[in-house]
Amino acid sequence: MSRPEIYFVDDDATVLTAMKRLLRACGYQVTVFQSVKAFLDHPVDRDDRSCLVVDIHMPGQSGIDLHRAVRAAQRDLPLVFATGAADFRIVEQACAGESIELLQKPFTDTELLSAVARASARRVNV
Amino acid sequence: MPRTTVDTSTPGLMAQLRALYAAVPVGVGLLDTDLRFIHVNQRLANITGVAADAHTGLGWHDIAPAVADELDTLCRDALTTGVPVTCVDICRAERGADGDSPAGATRPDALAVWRVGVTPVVGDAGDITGLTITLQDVTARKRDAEALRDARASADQRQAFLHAVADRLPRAFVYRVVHRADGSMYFTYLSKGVEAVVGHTADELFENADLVLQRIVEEDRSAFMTAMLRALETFTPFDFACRVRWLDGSLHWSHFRSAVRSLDDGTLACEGLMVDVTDQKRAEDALQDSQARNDAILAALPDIMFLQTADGIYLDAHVADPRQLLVPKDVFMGRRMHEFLPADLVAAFEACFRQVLREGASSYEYSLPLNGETRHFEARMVKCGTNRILTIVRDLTENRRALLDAQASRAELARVSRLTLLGEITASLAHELNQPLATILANAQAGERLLDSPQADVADLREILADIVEADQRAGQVIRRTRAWLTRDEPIRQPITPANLFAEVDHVIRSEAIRRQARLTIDLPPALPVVLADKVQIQQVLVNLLLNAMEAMQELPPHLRRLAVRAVAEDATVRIDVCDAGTGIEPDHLTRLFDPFFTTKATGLGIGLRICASIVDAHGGRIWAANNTDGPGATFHFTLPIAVS
Repeated sequence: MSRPEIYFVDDDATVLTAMKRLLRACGYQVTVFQSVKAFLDHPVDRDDRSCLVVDIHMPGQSGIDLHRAVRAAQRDLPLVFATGAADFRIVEQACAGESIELLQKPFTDTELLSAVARASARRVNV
Repeated sequence: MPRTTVDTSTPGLMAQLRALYAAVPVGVGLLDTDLRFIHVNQRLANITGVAADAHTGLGWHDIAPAVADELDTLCRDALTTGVPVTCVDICRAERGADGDSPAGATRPDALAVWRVGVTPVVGDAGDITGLTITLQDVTARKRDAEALRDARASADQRQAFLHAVADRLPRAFVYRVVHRADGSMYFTYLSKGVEAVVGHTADELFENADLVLQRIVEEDRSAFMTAMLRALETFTPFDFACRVRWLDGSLHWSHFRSAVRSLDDGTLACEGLMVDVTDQKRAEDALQDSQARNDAILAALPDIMFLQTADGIYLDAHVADPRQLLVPKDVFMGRRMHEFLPADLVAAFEACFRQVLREGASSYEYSLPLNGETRHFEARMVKCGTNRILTIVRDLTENRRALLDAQASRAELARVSRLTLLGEITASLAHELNQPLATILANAQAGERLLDSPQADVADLREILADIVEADQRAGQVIRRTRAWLTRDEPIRQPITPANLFAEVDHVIRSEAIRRQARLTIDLPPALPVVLADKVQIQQVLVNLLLNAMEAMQELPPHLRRLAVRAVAEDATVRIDVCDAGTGIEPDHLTRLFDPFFTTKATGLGIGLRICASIVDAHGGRIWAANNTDGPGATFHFTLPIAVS
C-alpha cells in the first residue's frame, strides 16, 4: 500500500525537482505543478485526500488564490503553505478561522512531513 | 643897473604894502631888479622855510637852491619882457632834503610843488623897477587832483574789467533786476552769458523779465518766488537753487545769488549772479549716492573691519554686531592690539602685517573664545595707504557649523535611505535566497536518504549534488548583486544600454511584484540608444519608483494592481516611465514630491524620491511626476542623457 499522495505547487523548477526527489525518497507519491493554473487544470477525484503543499508567491495566481479556489470548490484537501518570505499575516488573513500549516523555506524533511501529517489529520469538514 | 628901483622911501606906502602883504592868502615877496628880496610876507616865509626877515638881500640861490635856476630864469624873462607870468608850477625836493639832491631825482611823492607867479613892478616912468612874486605850495592840491584823475581812470578800468569778466563767465550771467512796488520787475543789466544759459537774448529779457521765471520748472517756481519776496522784504541776500528748463528743452540746475539794494526812487534792486550748477549738482548727487551706497554696503556687511597702523594701533573699526568683539570699540580705539589679544594671535597678526607691508595682502584663520563659545574667524588684510593696514574679519563659525551639519545630514540621509531601501527589499531578498536554500536542503536530505537505501545510485547522487551546486551559485549571485547594490557610494557613470540597466534589477522588481500581487509589464523597445549612467544608482532609482508604485496600489484589489515600466528615446535622452494604476497624486503634492522629507505615507521617511531626484539631477537628467490622463494612477518620468560615442 503506497503512502498518501502529495501535490506540490511552486513556480521554481529547481525547488520542484528537489522536493519530488526528497518526498519520493521518503516513500511518498508526489505530483508537482509549476503554477496554480496547472494544478487546477489537473483532474482530481472528489474523494482524493492527497495533501497539497503550495508556495505562496508565484506569478499570476498565488498560493492564497489556490487555497481560495480549492475551498470554493468545496474540496476538502489538506493544505500546507510553503513560503520564502515571512508572510504569516497574509496567510492568517486569507484563511480566517481555519487552522493552517505554514512552512518557512528552507525546511527540513522532518518539518515538511510533520506539517503534511498534521494537515492531513486535521482535515476540514465542509 | 641901479641897485634899488622900487621906491620904499615913503614910510606910509611901505606900511600899506606890509599890511597888504600880510593880508593876501598867498605867499608874496618883492624882488629888486637884481633879483634880491626886498620884502616877503610870512606866508612866503612859511613856504620857503626861511624866516621872513632873513629873506631881505638874498636871492633864489640862497633861499631855494634846488629850483633857483628855474626861478631866476622865470624872473629874468619877466624883467626883460615886462610880461607877467601868472602861474607856473615848479617842483622842488621836499623840505629837509637840504638842497643837494636834484628835484627830479627823488620819489615823485616826496616832491613839493610850488605855484609861482611873477609880475613886473612898473615904475612911474614905465620902466620895470622890480618883481612881485606870488608863491603857493600846491603840493597837496596837486596830489589830490592827481588822485582824483587816477581814481576816475581806475573806476573806468574797473567797470570795463567787471563787464569783461561778467560777459566771459562760463555758464553764468550777472544781472541787476529792479522790482517795482506793483510786483513787476525789469532787468537793467544782464551780462552776455544770459543767452547761453537761458536761451533768451538780453534784449528779449530787458523787454520781458518774466521770461526768466517761465524757464524755472513749475515745481520749483513758487518756492523761487517765495524766496525772492522774502529777500526783498528782509533785505537779506537771495540765495536759491532750482531747476531750469532751457529753451532747447534740456534741464539744468541754476543757482541764483544776489544782494538787495534800495534805489533812490524807492524801488528795490537785486544785483547778483546766476550760475549753472548742473555739473556740480550731478557730482554732488553722485557723491551722495556713492556715499549712501558705501554706507549701505558697510551696514549690510556682516564682516568686521579694522583700520590699524602697521604697529597695531587701532584707528577705526566697523562692527555690525558689538557682540562680535572681544573688547568694546571705545576701549580699543587708539590702542595697540597687544593690549587685548592673546599673545599667540598678536604674533600671528604681526607676521601677517609684515607680509602685507611686503606683498600687499595676507590672511589668517583663527579661533577666539567669545560669549562662552569658541568662534572661528578669517582675517584678510590689505595695505591701505603707506603705513595703514585694513583687516576684514569674517565670522566663519556658522558656515563651518552648517558645513559640518550638511555633511552629517548628507551622510545620514544616504545611510537612512540605504536602510530604508534595505528594509523594503529584505522581503524579496529573503524570497530570492530561500528558494535556492530550500532546494539545497531538500536535495541534501534526499541524498542522505538515498545513501541509506540499498538501491543507492551514483548517477542519482551526482545529479543531486549538481543541483545543490547550482542552487548554491544562484544564492551567491543574489547576494553579490544585492551587496554591490547597497554598499557602493561612488557614482561611476559609463555607457550602458537601458536593457542592461533593467537586467540586474529585473529579479528584484519581478519578485517584489509577485510578492505584492501586482501585474508588471516591462516594455523596452529594441535598439534604444546607449545612455550614460551609474548602473547601481539608476537601479536604485528604478527600484524606489517601483516600490512606491506598488505601495500606491496596496489598497486596490490584486487584479487592478497594474504596473508598467517603459523606456522611450526622446531627443538626446532616454525617458523611463514608471506607471501605476493607484490613487494618483494630489495636485498640491505634485511639485513638492521631490522635496526632502515630504511624505504622504504613515511610515515613510520622505527621502526616497529626494534621493531619486538628486541622483537623476547628478546625471544631468530630469525627474517629474504626473497623474495619468488615460486612467487612474500616476506616472513618474525620468530622463538620462544619451552617451555620445
